[in-house]
Amino acid sequence: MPTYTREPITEYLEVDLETETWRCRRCDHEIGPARESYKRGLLLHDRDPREVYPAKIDAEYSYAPDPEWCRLVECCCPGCGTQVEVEYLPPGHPITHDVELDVDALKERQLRLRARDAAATGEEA
Amino acid sequence: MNPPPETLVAPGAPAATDREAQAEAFFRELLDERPVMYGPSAAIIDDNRLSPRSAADERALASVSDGVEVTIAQNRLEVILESAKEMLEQTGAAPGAKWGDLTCGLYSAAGDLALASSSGVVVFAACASAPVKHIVKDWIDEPTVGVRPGDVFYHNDARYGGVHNADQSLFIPIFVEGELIAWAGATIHEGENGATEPGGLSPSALSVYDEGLKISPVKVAEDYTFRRDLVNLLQNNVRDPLMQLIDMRAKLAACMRIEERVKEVVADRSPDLVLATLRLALERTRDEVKRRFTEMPDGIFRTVCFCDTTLLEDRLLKMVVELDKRGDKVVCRTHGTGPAILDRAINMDPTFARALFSNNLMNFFWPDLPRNAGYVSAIEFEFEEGSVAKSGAECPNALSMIAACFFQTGMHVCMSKLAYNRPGDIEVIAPWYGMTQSMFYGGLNQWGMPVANLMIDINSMGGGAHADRDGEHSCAPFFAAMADYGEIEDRETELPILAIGRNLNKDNHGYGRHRGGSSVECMYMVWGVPEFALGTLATGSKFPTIPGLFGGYGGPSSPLTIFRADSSEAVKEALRERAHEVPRTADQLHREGGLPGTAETRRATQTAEFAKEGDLWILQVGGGGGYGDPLERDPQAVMKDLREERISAWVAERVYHVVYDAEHLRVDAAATEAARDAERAARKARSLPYEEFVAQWRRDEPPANVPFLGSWDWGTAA
Repeated sequence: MPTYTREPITEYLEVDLETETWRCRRCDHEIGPARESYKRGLLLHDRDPREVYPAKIDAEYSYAPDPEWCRLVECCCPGCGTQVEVEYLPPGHPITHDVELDVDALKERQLRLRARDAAATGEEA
Repeated sequence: MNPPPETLVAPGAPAATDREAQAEAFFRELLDERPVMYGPSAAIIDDNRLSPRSAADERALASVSDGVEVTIAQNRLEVILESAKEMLEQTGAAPGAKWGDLTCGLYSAAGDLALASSSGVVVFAACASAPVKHIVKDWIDEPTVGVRPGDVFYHNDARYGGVHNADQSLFIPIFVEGELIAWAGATIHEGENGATEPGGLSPSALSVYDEGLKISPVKVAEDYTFRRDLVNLLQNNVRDPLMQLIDMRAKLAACMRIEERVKEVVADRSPDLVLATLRLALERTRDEVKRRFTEMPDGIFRTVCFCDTTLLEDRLLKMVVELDKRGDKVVCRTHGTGPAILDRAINMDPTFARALFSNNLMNFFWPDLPRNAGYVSAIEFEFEEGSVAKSGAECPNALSMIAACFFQTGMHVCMSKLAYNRPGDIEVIAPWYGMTQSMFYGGLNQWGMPVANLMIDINSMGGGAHADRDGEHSCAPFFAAMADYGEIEDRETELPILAIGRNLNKDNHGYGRHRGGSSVECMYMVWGVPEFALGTLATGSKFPTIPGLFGGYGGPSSPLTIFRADSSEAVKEALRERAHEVPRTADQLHREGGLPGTAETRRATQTAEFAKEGDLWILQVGGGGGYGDPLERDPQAVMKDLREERISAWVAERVYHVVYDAEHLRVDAAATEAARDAERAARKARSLPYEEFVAQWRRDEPPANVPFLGSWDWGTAA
């Protein structure tokens, strides 16, 4: 049986192909099944955008996003608190399943690339 | 089909079956060979694949076997195009010509753009094939038109392919010994086109018939000589007839130069070498794009973006981009995107939407391949019929780029997530600022000349943060890496405008471990004329235009500020007597005043209105998105941002959580680390696991106070 290593997928997330789990690249926290959305294993917060973008004037168009139109859904790692993703959504909008990996294909690809690299260097895969 | 009525058949006429066949043939010829008009062809618009190899292509490819010779020929042709583009930039009159919003290209005989100038607007390189394909399809065999040496064709109707009708293209066929071997083309964003408002991009257009000139591909010259009656017709339908004439001549000169120099290559080598080089450039680009996709992980990558205006009102228009990648097959879908809007000029032609995909690949991911139609032919597209991404021919589209900007941003985020796993091959960048923040104008200038066009502030977009460094300030538009936003003195000379400020203002970018580049706030006062028409083109007043990447934030909102002077005399006195009090930013104007009059903020898109002398319009071009968690930003970099006035103390303390000595901007490292640890803990404390969060967050329909266009389907959620 081949053994698999981890594949970095985003700045803060990798997939452990051996256990088929998402892991945090900062603290190694196991986030959840790699065949599901990583967001299901993170902590989420509905943030008022004015906490990040200060309003310049008190008016309908204030230079800050309108909190009745736009919210920041901040997603952080339950282990270390690193902010992994921020979605800009209208209130109550479905959370985007942004990365839906084909884990089987990822495994095949890792073996294929490993064999290609081995052939190039003359080492065993 | 019914044959002609029996009662009309003359004595001795053919038998019924013969008559049926004749009637069938009659009607078929009438419908197929003598159409009422030659409208846009769905077969061309809906097909982004390369045309099949022609017999001449096969002959040429069989005769050319030396790869070095092909490489040299390709380099020569690219130099010819770059040189022609430089020439066009120098000779063109439109602001677009001066700022780099132009392209020169060389097309295959079938109409596929095979090579383009390396600078200029690369998005043209992806959607410019369709008009030439229409010429080939409709006019080569049409006896009243035909295609012969010395003919010149012209086009600006995006329903036949293209971005919008502010762009005008000129094409000439290149014949060698009677054989059509290629086409030369030149495109400039001309701007003014006689639409309901000046400048060529009319937010108040309610139908395609309000958008000004719509030139379906048409022969405007024979023997390289313009038909003056046709040029005159075009001139009489725009507000700047001199510019129309100059730029038609400039484009013809550029294309003739391309033809002349391509024929030198032919004379040096052979026509087959040119044919083979063009074909190989197309096929190799397509094949290489597919090969590179093969290296990336398989899966589906999605992004949703929101456009907060439909030009005349605040509405939230959803744009969905989904990349489904399996091996070398990439399918781009937009299911769930908001509908086409029949009376707003925000709709996209599918050739433009597809072109944005290849624009993204050309500018951000694989800029090393020849700029041609090979990029877009490597991808499959499934755009929803009737959506803003695939609107019909009756939908106005002069401001297609506003919806398109969101498609581009969504595509960029999807590609970044798809490509991250191959960092050695690709530099992942957070979203570039992606909106057409700019001002259009029209009227008599201070010299009494009619002027109507678009300011070039659009070209000062802030760059997205990189994985390993900050984004560049006021860098370039996402669609033209080498474009410039020009000298303000040139504009003050040509236009009745006084620029009283043009600043990189605070807090105008996305925050993150690496921050996006800031961009400019432009302050234009009407000056030297009693009044002048102004309008603006942008989104992002209520909902930020771009997000960040991987935990970084996008930019802030960017409304328009308008100041109305009490009187021009009062403003002139203030400028003369109290110059030190004159505001240099919108923020300062709102806080401190400093000019006699009243200020307000408005939606970033405004239809044209007359501003009086002394009135001031302030628009803010946005900055790029941030990359990574802001708590990981080097505290010293935060201090540098403070020193350079790129951020406020508010952001340093509340977003970056840096503790520092405000007088000397010295970081307290230990206190900063403690503050950041505390913020990470606070994040965890205020956040909820997914299911609990969704239970609180979820709404089954859009908020009642937000006019929403697009899908709202929790069945597809994470």
